[in-house]
Amino acid sequence: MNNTILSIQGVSKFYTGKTALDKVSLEIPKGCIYGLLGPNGAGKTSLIRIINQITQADEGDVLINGEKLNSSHIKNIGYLPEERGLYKKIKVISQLLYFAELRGLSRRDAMDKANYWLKKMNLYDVRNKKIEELSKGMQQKIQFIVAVIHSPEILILDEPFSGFDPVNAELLTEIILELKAAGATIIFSTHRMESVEKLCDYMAMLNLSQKVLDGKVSEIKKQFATGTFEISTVKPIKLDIEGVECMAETINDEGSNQYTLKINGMGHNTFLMQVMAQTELVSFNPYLPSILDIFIQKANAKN
Amino acid sequence: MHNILLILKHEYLTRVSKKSFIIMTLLGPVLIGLFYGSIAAISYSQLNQSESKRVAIYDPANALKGQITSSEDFEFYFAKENSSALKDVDEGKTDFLIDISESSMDSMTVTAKSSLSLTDKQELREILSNQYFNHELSNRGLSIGMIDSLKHKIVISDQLLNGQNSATEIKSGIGYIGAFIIYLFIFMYGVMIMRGVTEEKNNRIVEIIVSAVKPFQLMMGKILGVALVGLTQFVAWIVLSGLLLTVLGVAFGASAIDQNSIQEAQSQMSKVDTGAMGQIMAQLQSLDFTKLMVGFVLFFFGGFLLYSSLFAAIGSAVDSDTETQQFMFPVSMPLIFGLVIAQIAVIKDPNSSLAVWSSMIPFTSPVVMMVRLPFDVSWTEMLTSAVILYGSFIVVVWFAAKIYRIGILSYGQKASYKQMFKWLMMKD
Repeated sequence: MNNTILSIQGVSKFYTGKTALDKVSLEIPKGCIYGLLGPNGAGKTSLIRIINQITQADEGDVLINGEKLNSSHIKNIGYLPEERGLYKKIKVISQLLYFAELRGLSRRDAMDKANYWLKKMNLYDVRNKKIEELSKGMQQKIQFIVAVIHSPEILILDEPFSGFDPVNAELLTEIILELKAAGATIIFSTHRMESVEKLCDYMAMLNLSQKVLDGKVSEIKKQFATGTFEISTVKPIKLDIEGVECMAETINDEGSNQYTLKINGMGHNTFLMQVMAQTELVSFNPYLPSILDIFIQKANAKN
Repeated sequence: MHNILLILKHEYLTRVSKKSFIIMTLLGPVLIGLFYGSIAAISYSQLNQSESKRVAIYDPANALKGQITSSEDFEFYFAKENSSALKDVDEGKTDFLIDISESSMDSMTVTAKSSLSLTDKQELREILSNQYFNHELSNRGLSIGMIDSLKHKIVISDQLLNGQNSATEIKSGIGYIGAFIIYLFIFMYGVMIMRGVTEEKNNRIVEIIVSAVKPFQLMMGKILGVALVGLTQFVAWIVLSGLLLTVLGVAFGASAIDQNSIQEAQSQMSKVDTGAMGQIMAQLQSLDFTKLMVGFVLFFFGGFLLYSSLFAAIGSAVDSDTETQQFMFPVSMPLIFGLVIAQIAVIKDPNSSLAVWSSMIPFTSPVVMMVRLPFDVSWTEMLTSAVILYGSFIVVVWFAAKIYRIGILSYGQKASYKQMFKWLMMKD
C-alpha cells in the first residue's frame, strides 16, 4: 500500500517469562484515525512504546513511510501517554518550551506554537502558573499540547479521554478531527471499545499479545452483521417460523418488544408479512454489532 | 549532544531559579559561619564553665608527702580514711577518690560514682605523674625553681630540601577543607539527582522524555546540569564569603575604633605575632595554587560524576525515596571511608601506602587525593589518579545507564539487587 504511513511487521516483544507482543503486524494508512483496541494487558502499551522508541522490538520491524524506525522520526511522532505526567513545580510555558525543544523545534518556533495552542485551549491566561496550581482538567489539556506542539505526522493517544469532563472531551474530539483534516494520522489506544466507534476509520484488536482482528471499522461491522436484524413490535410475537433464529428478546426503552434475529432461508418481506399479521410493526433494522460484541465474539472464538 | 545540552540547560535553570537554591546560596556562608561559631562558642563556654571537681586522695603511705597543687579542673584534698571518702563519693560530696595505698606510685585506683571521662582520666594521669616527677627530683636534691627551668618547650621549624617552609599546618588545613567540600557536595547533590530521577519516574514524565531522547542522554544531561548547579553554589559561596568579610572589615574599620587604637593594636600585633603571621604568609606562599585549583576542579567533577551516576541508577530502580536506604549504604560507604582515611592516614603521613593507594582507587580518590594534594604530590601522580577516576566514571556510567534505562520504566516492582543485576544483563 502506498499510503501506509506506519507499517508494523511481525513485531514481538518478550519480557522475562512473558510475551508482551507475539508477531503483531499492522498497516496504518496515512491520514486516518486508527483504533488500537484490547483489554488491559493485551500488549497495546508495549506496541506504543516500541513505536515511540522507548523500547525496542525483539523481533520484527517498524517502518515509517517505508523507512526503518530511527531517531530522526522522533520529531514526526507525538505521544500522549496513558499515565499523565508533568513537572508539578514548573511553569506551564517553560514546560511546553522544554518538551517542544526536545522534539526538535527551535526556541522561536516552540514559543509560537506554545502560544497558539494555549490560546486554542483557553489556557493562555495561566501560562505563567505552575502546573500544581491548575485544575486536573487544565493539566490534561496541557498534557495534550505537549503531544501535539511539534505538529507530528503521527499522533499516538493512549486513553485520551480518561480524566476529561464531557465539555473538554468534546473540545478534544473536535481538535482530533481538525488534526486529521490537516493530514495527521492518529493512533488511538483504548480498552473502552465503545469510545472508538464514532471516531475511528480503521482499527486493530489485540488480545493476549496477539492481533485478533484488523481492518476498516465499517467493513468489520458489516462482516459481523450478515443476516442479523433487529425488530420491534407493539405486542409480543410468536417466532416459531422456520428459518428464523431468535438470538435475544427484550422490552426496549420505548416499551416495544424488541427481538434480535437471524433470518436465513426466506425473504425479508415474507418474514415481515408474517410478523405484521400478528401485531403492529414499530421498526425493522439490520443489526450492527458493537465493537465490544465483536471483540467478545473474537476472543471467545480464540479460546 | 544537542539533547544532553537541552536537558542540562533545563535542569540547571530550573534548579538555580528555585527559591530554596537562592536562599541556601545566600545564607550558606552565614549558616556555615554560625555553625562553626556556635561550635566554638559551645566548646569555649564548656571549657570555662565546667566546675572544678573535688578529688579525694587517700595516701596512707604518704607517697605524695601531703603535697599536691589543685588545677582549674580539680580541687584535691587528702582524705584520712578510705571508707569515709568512699561515702563522700557515694553522696556526691566528692567526685573521685584516688587510692594510693599500694606502696608504689606506679598504679593507683580511681573510684567514681559514674564512670570517669576520658579527658578527666588523662588529666589526672598527667597531674599525678607530674607531681611524682617533681617529688622524685626534689628527693634527689633539686629545688622547685631548678625543676621548672628544666621544662622547656622546643620549637620545631621544619623545612623541605629546597629550604622552603614545609607548611604542614596550612597544607593539612587546606587539603582537608577541600576534601570535605568535595565530600559534602557529592552527597548533597548526588541525593538531589537521585530524588529528581525518582520524581520523574513517579509522575511518568520520563515516558514523554524518553520518547524524545535516549535514556542515557537524559541521565547525563541531568548529572551534568546538577554538577554545574553544585559548582555555581560553591563559587557563589566563595564570592559571598569574600564580600561578607570585606563588608565586615569595612564596617569595623568605619566604626568607633579610631586610628590611634588601630595603630596601637597593629604595633602590638607586630610585636607579639610577627613570627606567627610571617610564618603563615611564608607557608601560604610555598603552596602551588595552580595545582591545587586544577586538582580541586578535576576531583570535584570526577568524584561527582562517578557517584552521581550510581545515585541516578538507584533513583531509577526505586519507586519512592524510602526504598533508597538499602542501596544508599553500599554506595556511600567508600566515600565515608575516604574521609576517614583523609582524617587518619593522611594527617599522620600523607605518603603512607594506605594514603597513596586510596588516592588512586577511584571511589576514595576524590576525597583522599584532595587532602594529599598540598603535600607535593607530583603532577604526574595527580593526573594519573584523575585519569583512573574519569576512566572508571565511563565504566560505571555505562553500567548505571543500563540499570537506569530499564529502571525508569519499571513501575511497581520492588527494587532489589537481584532485579538490578537482571537489568544489567539485559540486551537492548
